[in-house]
Amino acid sequence: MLSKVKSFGVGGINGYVVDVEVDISPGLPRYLLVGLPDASVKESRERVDSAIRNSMFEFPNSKVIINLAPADTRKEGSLYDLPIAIGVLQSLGEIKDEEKAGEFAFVGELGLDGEIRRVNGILPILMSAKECGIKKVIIPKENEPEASFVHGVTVFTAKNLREIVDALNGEEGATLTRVNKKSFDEAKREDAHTVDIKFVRGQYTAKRALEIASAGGHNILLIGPPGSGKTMLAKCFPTILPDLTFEESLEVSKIHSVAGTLDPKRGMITTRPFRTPHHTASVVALAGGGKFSRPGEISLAHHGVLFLDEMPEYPRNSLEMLRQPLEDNTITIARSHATVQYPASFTLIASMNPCPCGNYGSRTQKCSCRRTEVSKYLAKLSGPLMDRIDMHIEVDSVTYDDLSQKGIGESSAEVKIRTSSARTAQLNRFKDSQNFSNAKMTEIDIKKHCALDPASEAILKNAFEKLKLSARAYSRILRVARTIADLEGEENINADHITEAVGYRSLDRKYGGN
Amino acid sequence: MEYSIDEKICIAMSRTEDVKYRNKLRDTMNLDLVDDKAELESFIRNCTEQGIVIVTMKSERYPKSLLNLEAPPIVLYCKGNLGLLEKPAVAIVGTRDCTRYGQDVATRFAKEFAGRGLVVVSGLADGIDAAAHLGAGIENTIGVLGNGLNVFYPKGNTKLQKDMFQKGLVISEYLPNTPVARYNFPWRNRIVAGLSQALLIVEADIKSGTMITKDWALDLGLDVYSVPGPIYSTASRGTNHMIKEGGLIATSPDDVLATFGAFEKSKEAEATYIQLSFEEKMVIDMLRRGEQHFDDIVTELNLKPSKCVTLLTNMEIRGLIDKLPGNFFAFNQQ
Repeated sequence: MLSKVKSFGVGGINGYVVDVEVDISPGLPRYLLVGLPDASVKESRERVDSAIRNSMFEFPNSKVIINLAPADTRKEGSLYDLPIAIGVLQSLGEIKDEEKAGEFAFVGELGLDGEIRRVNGILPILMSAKECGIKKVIIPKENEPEASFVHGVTVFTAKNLREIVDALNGEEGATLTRVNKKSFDEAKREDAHTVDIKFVRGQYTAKRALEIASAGGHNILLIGPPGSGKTMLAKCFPTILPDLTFEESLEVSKIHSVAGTLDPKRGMITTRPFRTPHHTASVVALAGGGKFSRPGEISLAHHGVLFLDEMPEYPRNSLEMLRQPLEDNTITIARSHATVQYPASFTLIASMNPCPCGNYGSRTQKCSCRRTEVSKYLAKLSGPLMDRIDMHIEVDSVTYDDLSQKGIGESSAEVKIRTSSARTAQLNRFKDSQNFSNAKMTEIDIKKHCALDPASEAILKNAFEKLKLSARAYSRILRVARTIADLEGEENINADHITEAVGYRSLDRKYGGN
Repeated sequence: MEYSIDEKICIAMSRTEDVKYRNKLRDTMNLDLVDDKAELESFIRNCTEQGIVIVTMKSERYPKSLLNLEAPPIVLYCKGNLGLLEKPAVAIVGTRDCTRYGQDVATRFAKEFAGRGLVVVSGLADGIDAAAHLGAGIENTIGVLGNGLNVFYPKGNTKLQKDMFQKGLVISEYLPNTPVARYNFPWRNRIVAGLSQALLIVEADIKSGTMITKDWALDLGLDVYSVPGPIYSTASRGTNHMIKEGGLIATSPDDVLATFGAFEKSKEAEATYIQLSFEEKMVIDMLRRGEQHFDDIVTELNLKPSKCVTLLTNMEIRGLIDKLPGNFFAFNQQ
């Protein structure tokens, strides 16, 4: 007998509907699974078999054909266990009310005892359910937190297979648990940051630059000797980042849902992600993809921060890979079996030593490197990559006097108020475009929003001539100047903003070789 | 470009490897000895087309100081501003493998010298030489090559050499297409010494090309100054050794300027200073005491960091101060 059950698959970070068709016909006992299943889907046979028998049903002793439609898309993951089991039971006539069962879609992994286990990608699945007009979905109990933020779909959870069958059959006392919806504000909670920018002594340039970077989403390179607090500064960065908007949060959560890195208790990501892959990370780990396509670090840092500590230590090809996503804000991974696209709009924070010994330009330590060694070290970062970094900030080790200074600077919360209002200004400016921040302005946007008065124009021209800035610095300076103007609440960019922005381009000058 | 007969003979002399023939030319000064006169003319025309001016021993412009050399160059192939040959000059030389310290010293001293109206002469090599040329600014500097003018060596200085063709001066006693040969470099050092009134050695090891320049300079009776360095640094072994032997020591540009008599600080600089804003004056006063870190300037001026970045960058753009690696700022002497 034939039965059809609705379920979902995940491609990239979007869900799509998969029809699980089960046909049981007389014949020699066989179990055929078609529709491009990968190994984890094929293994469902053993789990489904055991789960059905251990839920006190009979597994059919005849020919079972299962088709996952659309049949030409590769299926992966364990989420088809539950729909297959339901399909089999329906074909066997164990589920009596076919019409009622047809209202539901199912996702979940089965344990051998019939228990329903957590799966990845619930958030995009429920969002696609909403788009396709599927009203009721049954998901594993453990995925409940994620489900509570998708409105417009009624979601039920169940602990085991027996519970679902009983509920569908209308047995007495058997009901499915309905998931309570929550609003986005409920999801936000006061984040307990362990660091605060007020504890960073001195480092005035760096702190100001981080404020600008966080307000405008600018990529930033911190250069300084070991122990100068580059990592500390980078760690403080999330504390001054503006909050995620609901749309941003949903997108970020979707990615993490697919990757399985969502906090199981929270269900939604409400703070900007801060990813710090080690420099041994492979290209695939950073970019995403692999045998089972998975978002890489750059996508997990979507709308947040990717922090590359000791940037020159990363293999060249890993760094060069960043160029395209930094430009396009998404990454397209093409493999022989599939092509997936993941969003990757992140702020890059990189840190590095100024030379092999680390002490070039330090006021406390002596550099023992030859000049050629210094330029060689800096040359490890390619021009095109440097093109995409808006600000280069030199950080120096702090002296004891700085550390023992009385009084503390501004707290992260105070800075965050300024960065948030600057970000709001940007959201208003770009409300008609795909853009969220100044850093991602296109050349057209720059023409439109970064008009210069003659005085600023003159300063910029002068700066280029006197400081021998490279041409690539031009649009970077304008983008940063736009953010500085936003921080000051100014409508137009003025000469001071331009001058300050020029001040954050150290590498274009003295370091740049001859 | 028109050359006199004497000059043409000199050019012909410089183009032959045959010593006997060369001496014969020198002794007779007879242009008829040159077999292929048309070829010589075309060579000269070719040079003129490339912007190369040939200054010979018989030319008006030939620096008289070179005649004191044991073997003065017969001709100098020059490209750039020949007026620089008439100005008082100081040579700054040193190792190619210099340290950050050496590079800083060369840059700062060269800048100061150029600011006082001196021309800085060096050898257009890596390291100290390049730092000296750049420090002085390309319009105040002469580079003496050990290869032809059309050869760029080391590669890293290609842009510098081209810039100096335009605004500074590059000279060589070798034919324009002479390739690089190791043994030519020590030999050209005599011209570096010969063009200058004082020699400053920034960093050098005991056995090095720089020491050869020093010997030429001492032979000519020039004041030779050495910059002291750390005793552990191999790059400072030569200079420290010379100081130990009783050589002149230079710990500030003024030490070297003593050779040239009093060079007054320009009135112009004073005039610019008066026009500065209060904060800018404070910055200049601070930097006159020495290099300062950004954080210290912020603390002393009691300004918001963002305002301070604007202030300092603005002053840098106007050429009043310099930004150094590590977020340091220094007073720009020019």
